[in-house]
Amino acid sequence: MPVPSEDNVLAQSCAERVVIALPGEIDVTSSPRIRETLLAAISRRPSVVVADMTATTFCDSSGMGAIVYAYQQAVEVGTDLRVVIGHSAARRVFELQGVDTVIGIYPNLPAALG
Amino acid sequence: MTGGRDSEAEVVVLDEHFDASTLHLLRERVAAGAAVAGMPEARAMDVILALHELAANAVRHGSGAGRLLMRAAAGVLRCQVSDAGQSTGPWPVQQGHGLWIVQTVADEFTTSCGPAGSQVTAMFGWRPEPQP
Repeated sequence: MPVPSEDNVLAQSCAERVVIALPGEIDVTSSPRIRETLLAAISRRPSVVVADMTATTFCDSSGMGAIVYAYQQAVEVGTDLRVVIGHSAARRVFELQGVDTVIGIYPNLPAALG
Repeated sequence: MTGGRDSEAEVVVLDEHFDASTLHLLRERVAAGAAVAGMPEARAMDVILALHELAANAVRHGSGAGRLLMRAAAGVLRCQVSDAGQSTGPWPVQQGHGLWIVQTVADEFTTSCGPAGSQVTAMFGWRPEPQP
């Protein structure tokens, strides 16, 4: 694919859906990098960003904090941030905080992209 | 190991030092300790999360390292996370933060901090699962 000009990037990204695969375990040691990765994707203003935690078997409060912060930034720029969580142990921290009732959480990637 | 004295006897199921590089390992050990104690998986999930948050607090806001001691008795896990470093004061309990999660999932929860560092004790009970 040719490298698009800046205008093309903007035009393309309006219809774009970006999927970011997150690691198997998310905790204080990995959440700062995850936050930066999500924010970088959101800053290009695609229509949808999927934080794909299909492979994630553990997520702590710092990981959830990274997702929540990214969600707030996504709302500001009009991007729809969706979260895929495949394992109940990774989902637990979101449930305890009630975040799962605010952010769209999907059981698998096809559901999030459907 | 203690045990056998009476029905209240507690058994040490985990005594582990940790730092930022061993949080992952600590979670595995907590899972194994909870299984040894006979804790149901769904309850163990909360305990793994809560104890991880306590350890992560010690790593992030305390001395950077600490020790977790888990004792099991019938239907209960008593856990103690200590941070030997100089404490900057009690860890804050704020929604979304680690201690809030511990407070939410633990049956009992106390914190103390003194010249020897910070210490958190948390008790997690469970009902026995029906035997097949």
